[in-house]
Amino acid sequence: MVKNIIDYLGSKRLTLTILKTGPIVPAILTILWILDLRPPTFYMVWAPLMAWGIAFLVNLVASLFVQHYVHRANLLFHVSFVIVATGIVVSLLYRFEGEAIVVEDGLFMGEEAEYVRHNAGRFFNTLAPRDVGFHVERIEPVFWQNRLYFTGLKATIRYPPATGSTTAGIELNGGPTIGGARLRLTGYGIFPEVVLEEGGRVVLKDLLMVGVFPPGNEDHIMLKNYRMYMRLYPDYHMDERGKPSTRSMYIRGPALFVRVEWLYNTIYSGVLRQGESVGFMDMKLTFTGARRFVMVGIVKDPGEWLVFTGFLIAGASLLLRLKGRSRKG
Amino acid sequence: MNTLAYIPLAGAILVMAAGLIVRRYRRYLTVASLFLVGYVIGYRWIHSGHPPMLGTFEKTIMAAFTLLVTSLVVDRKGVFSVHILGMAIFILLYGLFFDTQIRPLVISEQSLLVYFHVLFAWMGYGIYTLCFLGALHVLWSKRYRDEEIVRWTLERGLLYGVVAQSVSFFIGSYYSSRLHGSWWVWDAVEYLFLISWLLYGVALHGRVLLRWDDRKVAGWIIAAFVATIVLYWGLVYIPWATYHVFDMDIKMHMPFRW
Repeated sequence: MVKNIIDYLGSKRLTLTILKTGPIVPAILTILWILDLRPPTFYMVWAPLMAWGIAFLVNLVASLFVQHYVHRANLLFHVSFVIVATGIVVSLLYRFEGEAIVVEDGLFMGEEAEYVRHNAGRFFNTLAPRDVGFHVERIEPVFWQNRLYFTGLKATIRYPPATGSTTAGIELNGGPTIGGARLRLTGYGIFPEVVLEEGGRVVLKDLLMVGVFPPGNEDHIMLKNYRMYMRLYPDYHMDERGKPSTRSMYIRGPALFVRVEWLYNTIYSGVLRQGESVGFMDMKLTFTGARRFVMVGIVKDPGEWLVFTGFLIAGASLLLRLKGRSRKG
Repeated sequence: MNTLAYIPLAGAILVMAAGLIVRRYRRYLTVASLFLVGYVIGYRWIHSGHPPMLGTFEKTIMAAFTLLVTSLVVDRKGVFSVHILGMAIFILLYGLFFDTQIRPLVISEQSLLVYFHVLFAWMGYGIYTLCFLGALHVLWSKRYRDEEIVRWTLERGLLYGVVAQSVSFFIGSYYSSRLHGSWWVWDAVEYLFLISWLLYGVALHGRVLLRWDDRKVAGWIIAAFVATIVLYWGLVYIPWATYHVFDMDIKMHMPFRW
């Protein structure tokens, strides 16, 4: 009875049935994608894939014992799937992924509050990498033809923050590994820096974390009872129609367009060059400059190396298979 | 793109068209068109600093080149040459509907790993195209059914195609882990890869495990090639485009959004 079950689970017919049903879920997902329907991830993506994946692995493992592999490389190729699957399970259980915004000349110490988002939830202390602190010294973007088309982006960091003894560069497709976590850039932008005074007293002197990059984007914040809309021009000039514009994406003489609303009435609207101030009611707003920031992705995934080991074995076995040497019998 | 590159491209199309008509010199004309397309590739590579892989126009040049190379290397008797030349002409003309501007590589693609990912992807495409033609011959042509190249496409060729596509995926997946932080990203390109890969997997396993006959394998190869066509050429038409589309005129590639 048990032998019959194992024979069935490892049978060639079941292999083909599983392979034939494999494209169904991705086909449904493609159609949903085209229709711009984002399915509930668990029910539409993970649950059917897990069901299919388990059937696939059961058949695969059983076939390793039941079926006779003519080519050693074929056997190795199929074993590699088991290694990949193990890596996936380890990743699902222990993977940490977070993202932080760090401005030029800013510090990141790895505290939970410094992350914009992370996937660890209440297990932050268990999953998050320790000693992942660094200081962002310099951020250097390169734009093609002054358009929003990045041909370079590099953040130079020093770590650990206490000594800054090591220097490294982070780019979009890679960076150093610190505290067991891989760093990479996931975003870039510019924040305006302002000083707000009320009755001669400074009430705010800080970077405003607003989405004003790329130029043309408008964002707003609430300060006291004032709603302040703003747009940033990193390389300010007036275009031929007399409208504020930017020559390039680089910070070279920035200006901030500000529209201040109080009780839904616009009480000020105009462009502030760096160092200029504007007064409204008993407030005074000074645009002191603009600073670059990067978003840094921090990933610690103990399952990843298993997945890539599986890939490596699979790739090597496929190449071996092309040589076509068979086992006797 | 200036005339120095347009003229060889037009020349390649004309030479291939001549190859469709003049049967006797078809192989020589294929070689000549390969050199002309190769010149366009070299010209763009030198001027952009990267192999052509950015946007649909560059993809069409690479696809035509791959088809010609695969045809010359694998199909020595030229059984499929007329189809390959027709396909290459169609692909090159199709590419002219897209932006032909030479652009530097966006930062997300600046890596040798991407070059190899693309190389294996095109190798797979070339072989799969031959497999597709072999499958069509099996289903609809009695004349060439037993040709050596047709047999090759149903067995060895299928295996080579799967190997090339798999290696392309492994490299792409490793690069994705560096770029996106994850070796798998849920995106239309991944869905379509899975569909295509599994369909070829069915054809391959059916042939090896259950000794399927030629017609059954051919049917699955055709189904898989349809998925492959959508994977290679369809992404640009999918709304809510994926990170794999690099056409400026269709979608501004903006990896950075706040």
